[in-house]
Amino acid sequence: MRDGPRHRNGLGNLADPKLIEKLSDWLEASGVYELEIRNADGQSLVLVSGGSRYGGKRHAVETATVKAPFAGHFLTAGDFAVGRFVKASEVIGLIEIGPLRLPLSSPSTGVLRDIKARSGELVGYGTALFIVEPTP
Amino acid sequence: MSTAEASRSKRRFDTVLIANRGEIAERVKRACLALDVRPVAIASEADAAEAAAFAEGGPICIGPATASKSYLNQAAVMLAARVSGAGAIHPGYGFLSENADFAEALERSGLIFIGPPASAIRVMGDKIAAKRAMLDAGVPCVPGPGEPLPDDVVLIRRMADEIGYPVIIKASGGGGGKGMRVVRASDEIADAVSLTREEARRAFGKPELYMEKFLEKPRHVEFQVLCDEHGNAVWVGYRDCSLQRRHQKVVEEAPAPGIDPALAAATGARCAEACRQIGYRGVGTFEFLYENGAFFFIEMNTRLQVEHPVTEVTAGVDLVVHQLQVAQGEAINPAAFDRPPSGHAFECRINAEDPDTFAASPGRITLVRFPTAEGVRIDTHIHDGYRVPAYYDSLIAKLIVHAPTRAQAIELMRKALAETRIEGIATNLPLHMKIFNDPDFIRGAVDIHHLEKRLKEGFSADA
Repeated sequence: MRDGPRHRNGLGNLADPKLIEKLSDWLEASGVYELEIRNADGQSLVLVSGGSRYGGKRHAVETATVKAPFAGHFLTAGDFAVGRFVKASEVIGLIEIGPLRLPLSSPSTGVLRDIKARSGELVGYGTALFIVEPTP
Repeated sequence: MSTAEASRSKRRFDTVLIANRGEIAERVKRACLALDVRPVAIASEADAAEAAAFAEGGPICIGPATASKSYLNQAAVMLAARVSGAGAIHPGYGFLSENADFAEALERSGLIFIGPPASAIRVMGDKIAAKRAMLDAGVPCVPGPGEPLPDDVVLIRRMADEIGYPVIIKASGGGGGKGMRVVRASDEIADAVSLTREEARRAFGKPELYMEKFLEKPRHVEFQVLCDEHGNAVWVGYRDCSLQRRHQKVVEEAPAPGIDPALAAATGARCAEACRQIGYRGVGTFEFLYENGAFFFIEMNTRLQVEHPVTEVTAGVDLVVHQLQVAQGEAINPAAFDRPPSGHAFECRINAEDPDTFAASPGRITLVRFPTAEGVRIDTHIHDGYRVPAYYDSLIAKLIVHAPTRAQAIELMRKALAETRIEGIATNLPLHMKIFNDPDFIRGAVDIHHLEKRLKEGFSADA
């Protein structure tokens, strides 16, 4: 979505929670994962399906999402909690399919910003599981 | 222990993974619930949002929109069965339903494939082996030697005389209308053979020729069979599916009009016999061409068919329930199927496509209204706000009517079509309306070229 044309739009204040809510609904409904919007005042908003980040006049922070590569039961690994520091390719979770366990690694070094599924939950292909905010 | 509990404890599976999408996934789910079996749905990313309300817990998303990475991905389907605790997989139609390797992989992994054994899928999937198996069982096939023609023209003429004219001579490497010639009399054989052989040599590099009986205006008539693993095999009625466009069926009916019931019964009985001989299990369909009062076997479909409802309503059976029961190891009672069909049924395949250009018409359906009346059945997965994805087959609903006579069924279908509203996308509803007002179709027994001819010339209602 980030490569899309940046034409001016008629959106008002991007910090308006009602607008953010509406955009989030559209995002969810369309299956689009991420959307970046800029209004006439140079305000920018990055919406990530299932949550959003108001970017003010600054460019929003990039985050990386770890998605389920297969349908299976999601398990968290170790004591990973939101706010913790993670290293690139560190195993932060597992997908369990019967006797099989597939590791889920962090795509980059940074801070674990969100865990989107409960441990033990059945998740499908493409379900967002972890949001990692890389440290510069 | 109650009787219900006792029968449940003997079951081979209590959860079925439905490895399909759309209306057939809904249809299989209904049969599962009727038998107190838990259905588990799967979905691609393109279907996941729409299918959310499908079953308790929603569908398991198994892959991206592309069918080869989701509904056709054998590993992903099997892993989904594993995580959901399913003991059996119902493949529906299309996708993995006639894949012998998939059936075998399930058998090996201890999962039950709701369909025939892999060996039967393999035999019937090979055209030459299938024809041989059918001839062994006494099922009539398109007459012809089934092997390349000899060089000697005198010998070829004798074979053609025996088959009866017209015959068609085909280059074995040919296809799409090239390298074939229809011969209508004995004295045309020599020229036709030498010309076709020369064409075959030049165009396909292979001078090999085949010959078989040429059917000019055949109808497509098919027989439904049902078999268990205890050696019981029955035929459950026959359908006429002659209304086709580019080999895709558009309207089906049961029973096929104007066919001697005694001939149909004899052919159906041979199909059942063929099933016993190849060790068939589950439901299946024998497809025939029918011309001048004779049936010629063309192929067998080793799965549930899209048009199974017209047989269900006229035979008074639930084929999908029987499929599940047979997969549980239950025996069928042949006597229960030994009765003539009741009334007449039609099915219209409603597709998301332009009724004139036939271009697919994906998109959001803003409004759906189906008729509710005695004798009307709707098999569908769509609803107000449903988004038809562009990735799959355009079938969005099946409109089925059942009435005491064919004329009454036509009348009922006209009414049902008139009351059906699907807005927001284009559908082929207007085409169905034309078909049910076409005098030749109303008279019955049109051949497989009829619809294409009408589409080219225009329906008389247009004139």
